[in-house]
Amino acid sequence: MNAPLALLTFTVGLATLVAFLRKEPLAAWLLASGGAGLAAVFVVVIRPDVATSFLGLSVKVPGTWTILGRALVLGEANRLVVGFVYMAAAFLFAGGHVAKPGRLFYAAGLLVVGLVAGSLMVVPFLYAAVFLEGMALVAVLILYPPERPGSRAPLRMVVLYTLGMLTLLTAGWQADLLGAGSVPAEAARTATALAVLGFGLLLAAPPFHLWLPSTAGHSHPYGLAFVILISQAGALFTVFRFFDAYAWLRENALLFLAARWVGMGIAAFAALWALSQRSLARTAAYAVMADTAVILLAFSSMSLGGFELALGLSGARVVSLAVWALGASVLQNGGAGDTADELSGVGYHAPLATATVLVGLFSLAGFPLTAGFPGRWAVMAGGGTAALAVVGTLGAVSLAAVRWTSTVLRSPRDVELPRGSVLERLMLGAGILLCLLLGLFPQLLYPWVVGALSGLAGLSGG
Amino acid sequence: MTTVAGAAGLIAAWVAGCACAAGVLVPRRSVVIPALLIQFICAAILFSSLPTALVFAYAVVGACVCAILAVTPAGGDVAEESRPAGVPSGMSFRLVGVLLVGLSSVALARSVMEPGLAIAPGVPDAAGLMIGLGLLQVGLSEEPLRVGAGLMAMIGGFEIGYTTVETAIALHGLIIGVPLLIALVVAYLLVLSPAKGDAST
Repeated sequence: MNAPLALLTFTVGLATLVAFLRKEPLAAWLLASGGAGLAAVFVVVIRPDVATSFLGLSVKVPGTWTILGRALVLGEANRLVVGFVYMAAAFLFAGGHVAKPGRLFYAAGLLVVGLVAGSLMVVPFLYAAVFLEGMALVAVLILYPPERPGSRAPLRMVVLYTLGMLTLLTAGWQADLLGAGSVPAEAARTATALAVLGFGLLLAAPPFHLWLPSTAGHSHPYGLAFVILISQAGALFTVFRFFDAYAWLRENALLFLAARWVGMGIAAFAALWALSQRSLARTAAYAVMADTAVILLAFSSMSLGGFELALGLSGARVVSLAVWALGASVLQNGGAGDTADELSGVGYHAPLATATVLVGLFSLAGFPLTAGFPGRWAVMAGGGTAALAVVGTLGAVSLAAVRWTSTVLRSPRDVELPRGSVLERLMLGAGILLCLLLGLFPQLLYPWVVGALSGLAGLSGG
Repeated sequence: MTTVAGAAGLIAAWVAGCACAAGVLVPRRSVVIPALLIQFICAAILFSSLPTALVFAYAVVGACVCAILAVTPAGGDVAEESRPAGVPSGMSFRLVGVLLVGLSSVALARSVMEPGLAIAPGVPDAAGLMIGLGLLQVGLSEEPLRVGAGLMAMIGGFEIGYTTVETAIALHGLIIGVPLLIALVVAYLLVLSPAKGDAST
């Protein structure tokens, strides 16, 4: 059996099993987090088409699955990034038992991960757009769980991803007409414009961000974090593959300059909106948008270092957003709510969960000594207007976090929040520690995530 | 023979356009679902360059989509009680919107895809009408059934145009399967949030 077929069969099989066990949360949790972790290890350890020693056995697994004349390929170009997606999913599933995002979370989450992995393996890579559309459709089950009926916001995500799919397929057709080599920028204008529009739709860049704050206002914070992290990882790598495949795109200096200005615009917009929110989830949603702007600013440097930095930042946000979501979920599950009024003084009733929320939010902002800082520091070290934008974003989103700190430390309200279990306190503490640890020792995370770029010869110059 | 095929294509294109317009103008479940079925059938007729099996598969997908939506309990006839606040969407507004968007979409599609040897008559019209009116439907409502119908119209219109430039069967197979997933998601959302009643009567 080839590696892509084995991986996808395992993922879908596990999702089916977990779906049957949805009323047994402990079993579903163990299977989903353990299974995703096992799949990540399989992808990273097993080198397709190369004889590899695995558990004492010499194994050689074919890396190509041909289906209807097209192929799913797991090779050196995408092995690490597929592993990253499964690892991120395993990490998020691990917190699911405490966060309790809904009984469909694990099954739908595994399908989402499988579809994103499919989008990373499919050749030609333009087919990724259809896989990401499928991912957005399955994600509705996570964003709109049966336990939380009442909102229609998740359909906005589907609408925008559908438009993204159609735009990217059209861009791909135009790109195929131009070929992979160097083409004058004027000749590639239509393809470039379509590709940029498609990227904007998939990365939820304003004005295509509408689903993000409206979903944040309704969905479970942990489900929202999962969907954002996994979908954006797939979208970001699709962008990388686009730039890797077409020289006329990655050699267009004007496009990178435009990306820098767009990045600064998004940073200013998201930072100001994050500051003005009275909903914790929406503050985090805009902080994520500001983080996307920083990724775009790193990418706009048009250098290998910048591309690596963009990937590294996307790895750091997994920890920051997951930690925030874990704390926010514990507070919401305990009945604390999401608005500033509801969370006023909550720090005295649930100190550990509140601390987790704040550390996650500061890390999303990129505050020093948290996981989000080293990447921002590297972008700032590059100097120029991008550095100023990063400083501004960091300051504004940190100020929003400071505002939330003062809110949760106001005079305590007369409310009772349930005392968490040992496992809950352990996980919240571990989340805080991880955020701080990766802030102090970024070398634990960055080299591994950045290595995912080595397979893209066009971008890495290999 | 070519003239007959061309006329059939043109008729199918405009029937699909009228079905899309009906879905936008009359936001009732009893109109939206049959209109969707007509769109699927007309789109299948216009997939001239696809293998017969795939065309048949698309028609079957259309039938399944409509069956799924028809059997989904939605607490009465779904109407547009969920329109976005502040967006005008009365009958006269929708009628003007359909005319403006429909005609401009056809004009735009004809300027992008000129009928010729590779593109059969009716293909640009159908693609333009379905994408344009589907987008209008998505913009005018937040109700899952109507948004889903709009999305499926957009994908159908895109696919009609895309078959003239892309020959990969696997890709068309994947795109054809997307409406089925959309129907399942719409059904899921309808079950979770049944409509309160028919506001259009």
